[in-house]
Amino acid sequence: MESPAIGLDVGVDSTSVDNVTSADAAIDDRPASTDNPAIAESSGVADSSGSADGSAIPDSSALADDAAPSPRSAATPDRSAPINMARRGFFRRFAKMAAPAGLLATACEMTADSFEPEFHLLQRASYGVTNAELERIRNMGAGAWLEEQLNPGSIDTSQIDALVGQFPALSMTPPQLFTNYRGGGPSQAALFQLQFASVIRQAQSPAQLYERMVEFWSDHFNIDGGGSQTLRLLKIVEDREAIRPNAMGTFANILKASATSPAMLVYLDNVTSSAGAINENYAREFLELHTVGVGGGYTEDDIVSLARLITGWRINNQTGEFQVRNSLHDSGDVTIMGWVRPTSGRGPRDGLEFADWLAVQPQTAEFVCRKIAVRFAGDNPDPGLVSAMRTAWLDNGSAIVPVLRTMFTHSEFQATADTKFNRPADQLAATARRLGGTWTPSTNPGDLSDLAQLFVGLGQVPFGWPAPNGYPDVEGAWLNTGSLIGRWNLTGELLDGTANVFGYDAGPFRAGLNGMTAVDICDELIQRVLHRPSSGPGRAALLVIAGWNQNDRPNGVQISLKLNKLVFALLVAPDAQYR
Amino acid sequence: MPHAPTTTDDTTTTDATNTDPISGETMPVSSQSRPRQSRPHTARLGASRRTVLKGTAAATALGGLELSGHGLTGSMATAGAAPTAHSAPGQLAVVFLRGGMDGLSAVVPYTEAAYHDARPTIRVPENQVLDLDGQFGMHPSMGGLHGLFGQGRLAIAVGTGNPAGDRSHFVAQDLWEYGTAGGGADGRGWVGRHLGATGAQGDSLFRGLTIGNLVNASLRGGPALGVPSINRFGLVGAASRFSESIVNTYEGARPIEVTGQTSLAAIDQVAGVGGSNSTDPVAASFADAASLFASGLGVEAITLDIGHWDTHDEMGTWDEGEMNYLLSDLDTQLSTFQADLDARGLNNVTTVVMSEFGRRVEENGSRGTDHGWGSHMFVMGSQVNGGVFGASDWAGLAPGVIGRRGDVVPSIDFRDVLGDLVTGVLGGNLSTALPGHSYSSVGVI
Repeated sequence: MESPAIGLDVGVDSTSVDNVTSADAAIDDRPASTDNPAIAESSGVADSSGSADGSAIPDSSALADDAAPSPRSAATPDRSAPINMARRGFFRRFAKMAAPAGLLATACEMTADSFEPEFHLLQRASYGVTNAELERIRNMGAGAWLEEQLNPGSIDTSQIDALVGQFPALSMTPPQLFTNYRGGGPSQAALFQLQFASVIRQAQSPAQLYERMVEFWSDHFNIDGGGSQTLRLLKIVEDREAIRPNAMGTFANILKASATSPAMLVYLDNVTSSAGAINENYAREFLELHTVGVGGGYTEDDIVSLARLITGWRINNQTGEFQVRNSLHDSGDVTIMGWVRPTSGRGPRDGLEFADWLAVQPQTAEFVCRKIAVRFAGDNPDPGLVSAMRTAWLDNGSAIVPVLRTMFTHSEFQATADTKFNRPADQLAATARRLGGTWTPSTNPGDLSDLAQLFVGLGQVPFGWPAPNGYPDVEGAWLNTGSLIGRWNLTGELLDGTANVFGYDAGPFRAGLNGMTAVDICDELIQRVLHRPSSGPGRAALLVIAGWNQNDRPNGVQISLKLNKLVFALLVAPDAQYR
Repeated sequence: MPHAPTTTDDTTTTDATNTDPISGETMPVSSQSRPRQSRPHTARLGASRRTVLKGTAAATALGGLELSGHGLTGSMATAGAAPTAHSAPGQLAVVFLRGGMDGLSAVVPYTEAAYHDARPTIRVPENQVLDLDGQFGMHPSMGGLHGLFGQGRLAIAVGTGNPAGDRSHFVAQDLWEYGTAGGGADGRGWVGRHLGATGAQGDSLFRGLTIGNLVNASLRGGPALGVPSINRFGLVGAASRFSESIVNTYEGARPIEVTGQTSLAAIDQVAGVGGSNSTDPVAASFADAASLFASGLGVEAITLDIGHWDTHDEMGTWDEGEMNYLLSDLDTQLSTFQADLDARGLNNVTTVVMSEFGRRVEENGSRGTDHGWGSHMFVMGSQVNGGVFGASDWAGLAPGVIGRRGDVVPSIDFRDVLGDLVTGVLGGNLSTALPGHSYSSVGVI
């Protein structure tokens, strides 16, 4: 057999009719491994779906959420009032717990409680506050800033685009990728480019909310980029062609784009599914993870029906693009959750009609809106908030922008300030932004290796979650000893400049401190790093760390000696781990 | 039951080295059991795990702080003080195979025609299994475990499952880790409930831990550390130089701060424990687990994950391909772990291996298998009662039994196996660890 142009060996549709190679989605962790040889697929037999028995998946709503309930912060104080030390809602959960004698009962809070809607919105909708962006949002007002971010097409991203344009793999077609990066090591190097680009965009793109949504959908429609060389390369294409163009469009469009992406076809095996020989993996996760969720009202029979509906979805061997094979498609009757397949003009694309229908069902809106709310509004979002988002979804044909606008302007969103725990990737981006640092694109193997080490130490590799459900998104999952150690080390490495590809200017932190008292220096550093006024405990902690008394006047050398240590303290501080 | 011979070497001194009889290299003790280990210790990965707590407030006993939801209990022992001893019969390793391991491929009901008929491509032929009891045989790539079976140190409970029968990975995994069949789940894990209920002043920080980036749900409700690896469980670079910055900012009572204090104290205590240098993450996890069990830090339970078991597609044949590779790896990982434990004289470590469900009897259109129900559980170690358990109750694979979707119908409730471990290894209370279940002993311990 003539070797295929792409050589995917994965459910690739060869040019000879009725001879389809089966998929090779072998999970392959070994370095420099090769794909297994393709096996010819046997021809299908008649549809084997049984009669519906209506058996429902057990209701799992009784299972506890991942996270312990996180309290909402205190009611909005009057912004015109002097900043006070009001206890945050964070403490309410532990009101019953008696502080043991002799223990420092207060938290070490670096900054005073202050609530500013612009600050809160910026923290949540972006990857972290920077001086420049904070000034900008204060000048234009939260509403105008939000509208700008909701319209990423209006934002000038030419600089960041040029930066990530230096990663050659990102703009390659499937044939180019499989020519240039075939093999375990090369495909990993290609995926590194995507991972690195993700880090750079999150830290530096002016279209911050857009990059937040790209990350959200990458989790939601998770593809484990590390699984095999094929998946690594196809993920690069999927990111560019399915996720990024649709991240702020309609859910219907991104759902269909994900469903027909070669990466997803391979990842969850739909690429091998044929009439009479279905594979139900993708159909299950389509319902359970991507649309309506476990309690969303589908049965095991619905899963089988959906699998039948989307049979015959394949990848074109020459182009690496999605295509359909009628001869492998089950055109029989299908009913899924009440949707009935039209009788006429049946074909493999009927699955896209079902996706359009499901995208605007209330269960889908509820499930996905709640996930969005968890991402942006806190681990236990207010039901009223989710309900308002759901309404916006259904009123606008699953358009995402109205949903986001509803969420960010809702009163219950305002009430959750500072309570969202940063995942490791969040912390990496926030720290980079706090330092005002920049990443320099590089495909140098040493640099990519450094970055790989960084990710491993961080405990969260972009596109590296090994299951279809994506990285967890609640504090209960991420707050543990290893995760803290990882981010402390990472912060230190960024400060030390251990990775060649990251650099920052310490000048702005150092400038103008000579001649100030120790107390004032501490206050000033807190403001410069965390962009908020200091608190008593925060100032006191910094004095201890510097070894200064509050009325000392450290000289220039002394300040320089302690600067990194103080900046480090602010970046690792408990407060700094939340947004 | 015969036990594996124990070594007489003292393997607990951190300065001890051994000469590898094969390469002649001098190597640290932790790699003793794997003579082909060769990667030099990378300074970057190595932790500068120097003591951080001398003379700071965090070094003093804090008193018992119970924080619901995070389950951090117990105080931090004063530096140098021995932790409170817990009189458990043994130590437990919980290995979770993520994705739904195909039990029928690992432990084959090879005398049943229905098995061979349903799996034309992926079946193991009768004459290739490693026989266990005349009814079941192990996959031919699992010679290590078969050897342990022969020594009486492997118990296999056949036909285990969760009555809930959920086919969602994520729901099913939660149910197994919570130790429940659904409904009334309290968000705590079966091990976490035991550790949480038996917490005491002066407890070791290391009673329960996960080797991984996230703490497994089975440990929720009790004290639990996340340990990505021993080598990474420490401060490096600026974090190490500026550890005072951490000490002085993580001083309060919020969960994150307590976690931070725990991290610092734990780093100190782990400083003397050798970590694995293996570049194979699973091998490294098992090696680190053995080191931690041997460390004298008061470890009672360690959980680990192995992924990639969701074999929907192209499982291969008995002698090559995906399933062969997965089972061969698993066999190596578990056998090596047991050998490591033997070499360290850790006769009281028992390992249980489980997965969230088995897979369908019939192979699917992609020569793989779909989410099923019943499967098998392994329990390994010198304290187990070796043998096949539940063979006489095995429901079998006849069409009338396996139902419309073709499942192995469980004949042993997984919680009964867990119950054996709660009492026989953890020394715990059944109704505490596995509430709402009427326990009936399987007898693996």
